[in-house]
Amino acid sequence: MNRHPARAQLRGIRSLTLALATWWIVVLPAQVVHGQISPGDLAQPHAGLEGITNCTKCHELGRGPSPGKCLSCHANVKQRIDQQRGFHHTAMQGDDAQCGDCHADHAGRDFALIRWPGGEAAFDHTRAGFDLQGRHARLQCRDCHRAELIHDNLRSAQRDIDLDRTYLGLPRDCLGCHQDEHRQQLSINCTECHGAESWKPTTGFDHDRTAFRLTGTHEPVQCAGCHPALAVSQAEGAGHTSYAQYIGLRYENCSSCHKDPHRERFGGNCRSCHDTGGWKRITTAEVDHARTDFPLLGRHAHVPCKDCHTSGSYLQPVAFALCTDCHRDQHRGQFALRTDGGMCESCHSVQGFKPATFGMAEHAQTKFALVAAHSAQSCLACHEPTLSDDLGPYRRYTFEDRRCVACHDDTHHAQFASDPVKVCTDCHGGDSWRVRDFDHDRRTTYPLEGAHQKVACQACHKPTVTDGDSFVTYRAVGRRCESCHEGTTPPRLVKTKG
Amino acid sequence: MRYPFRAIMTVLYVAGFSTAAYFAWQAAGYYGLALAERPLATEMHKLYKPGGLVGHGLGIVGGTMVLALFLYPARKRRLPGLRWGTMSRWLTVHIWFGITGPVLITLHTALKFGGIVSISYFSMMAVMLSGFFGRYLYSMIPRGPGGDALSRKQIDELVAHLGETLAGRDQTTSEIARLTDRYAGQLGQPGIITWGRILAFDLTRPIRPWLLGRSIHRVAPDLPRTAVQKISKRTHQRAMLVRRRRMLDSVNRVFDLWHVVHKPFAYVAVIIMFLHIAVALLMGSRWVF
Repeated sequence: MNRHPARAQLRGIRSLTLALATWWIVVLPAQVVHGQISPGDLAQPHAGLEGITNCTKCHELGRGPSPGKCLSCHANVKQRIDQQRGFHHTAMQGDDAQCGDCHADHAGRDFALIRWPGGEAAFDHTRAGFDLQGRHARLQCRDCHRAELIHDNLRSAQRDIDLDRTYLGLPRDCLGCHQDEHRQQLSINCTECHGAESWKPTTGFDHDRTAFRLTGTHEPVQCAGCHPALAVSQAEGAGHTSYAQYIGLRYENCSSCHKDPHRERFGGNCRSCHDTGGWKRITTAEVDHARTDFPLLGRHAHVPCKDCHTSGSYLQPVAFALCTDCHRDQHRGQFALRTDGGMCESCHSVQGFKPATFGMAEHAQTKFALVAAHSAQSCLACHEPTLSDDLGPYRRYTFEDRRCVACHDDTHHAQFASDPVKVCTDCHGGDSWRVRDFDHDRRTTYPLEGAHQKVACQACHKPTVTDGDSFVTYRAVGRRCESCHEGTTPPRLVKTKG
Repeated sequence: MRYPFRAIMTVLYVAGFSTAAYFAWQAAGYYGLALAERPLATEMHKLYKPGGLVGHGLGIVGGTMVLALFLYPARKRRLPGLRWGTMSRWLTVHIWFGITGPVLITLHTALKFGGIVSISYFSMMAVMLSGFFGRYLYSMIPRGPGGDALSRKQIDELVAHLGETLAGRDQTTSEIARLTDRYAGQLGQPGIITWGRILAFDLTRPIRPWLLGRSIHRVAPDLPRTAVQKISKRTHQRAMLVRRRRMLDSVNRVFDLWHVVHKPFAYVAVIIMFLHIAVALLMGSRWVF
């Protein structure tokens, strides 16, 4: 067998294989050398760093990716770290902190370049220096991190930044994201009044801190009730129709907001009569009722207005000429025949219905002057509520029968009714019921003689019981001796029971 | 010594493949992610990315195995310290390194292929696949118990010995002899067609002795089963030797060419692997140390 052709063939194949291997090892890498010693394509924002000559722009030889290298490009992040603010300041705490912990690259062009530990939704936003409170916590990241909201400082500091991807540059102040609904009328620090949960209610706002403190019925009034809506400028575009006016409002006088129903008849100072407790609640103490025809004197000064102004309108005339225009005649017209016509003020004053000013002197002018024991009695002892009508019982002040028996019981059981002596005072004094200086000889038909003069009245006038009622007998005493004496010597008086 | 070695190799294969299968199973979800999504799977990414705890470790072990492949050619060149053990066992270990190493490195890549290092990977895979063909060529060269190739004279003597055994000890009849003589088949001049026949014969090699045994049993029904099996086995051995003897020159030439293909790609793989390691170290990649 001729081996020379075989060797030549073998040499040819070896040469071909070596050429193939050379191409494999040199030419092919040369074709893909642009960045192809890397473990994978860089993400799109870093695409410009592809290439074998760019490795050390991110990697420190022998040490790996370096935060310093990253921050040499990401100057805005470095600035925030140096200023000790923002998330990267907290994230880069510690010696082993690496940008790549969150921003690992070489995962392909489409990689978003952010790896959220635990997921994007689990990000602790407080580490970014902005605690997501209230409704903010329920928003999606890109609801706020939008290109149009990013601060101009970031745009100018890093012109090549992808505003649709970055999480930097968002203003921390409310107006950085929210429109100023008050159009610069109020403080730019919205949180002074508004909470993070909702625009309304304004939990932090206290109207008392303003020049117009809300009191009384002003408190429940909706803001719009006092703060009118102003039209927005057309420049603001659709979706904004009006805003509330908060400055420039006149509030010195009530009439700035309220109409004067009195048509200035009481002057312009509403507060002289009214306060914020309500239109119908009049601050009586401050109303100068003396300016009316009915100055409030005595107890009238303490009566609620509505007790007299029952119609609810203070413009409605109230009759006041007579007390009875307001007050009920407690005496039911018993004094109408009096010369003064029964004027209340003859006996009463505005200091109160009681006590009446009707004293002893006045009583003396009546047909029944009070003397002796009567002057010591309470009025009510005689003027009892013995009368009544639909309104109830009332006291009697006029008496047709002014005899004693009209008021007092006849304890003698009418023994003297047929006598010429019919007036109690013939026997009894005015100061007491006790009988004094009774002239038995003159006033009776049985003069007392002899030993009879020394006998006590009760020895002859003994109590008698009739129908269970006991009274002293004065008329039916027998005139005969044995009517009282027994037939003995010396005579003795007959003892009677009772 | 043969059985302990086979047991050791069995353990090594089981260990290698079960390790690879375990991590492949664990990281299956991660490997299925798009590249851009992988870093988002934080914990899996830390473990199974090429530079991760597991991924990097698999790369180091697999790379070490790839380097260990060069122990076999070193043994062939009888370098100092490597003059022990039979070549066949060195080859067996070489094949284990050549299969297990690329499997582990495949896991190390996290199925992310790109850049220069991918040339190393695909070169390595080319070497591995060519290794399977080389192992087939290797099997086509008759070898002694130590793995050394037999000379033509040794082959002829072995063929003659088997023929004598068949004719003498096995006392084959003329009908059986006709079957055994035809078993080796016809081989023409070495060429594509001949290689095709050899390949077809080798593919059916596991059932050919059984088919021969059935034919022998058909012409000699009274022959004991053990005798049929012995005749079939020896006939098969003799046929293989005859065919390999016939193709020896052609196989040796192809084997020479195979080396020309197998080795350069192995060098390419290793050189770029070292480049990859150097770049990784330069760029600050570290494992647990």
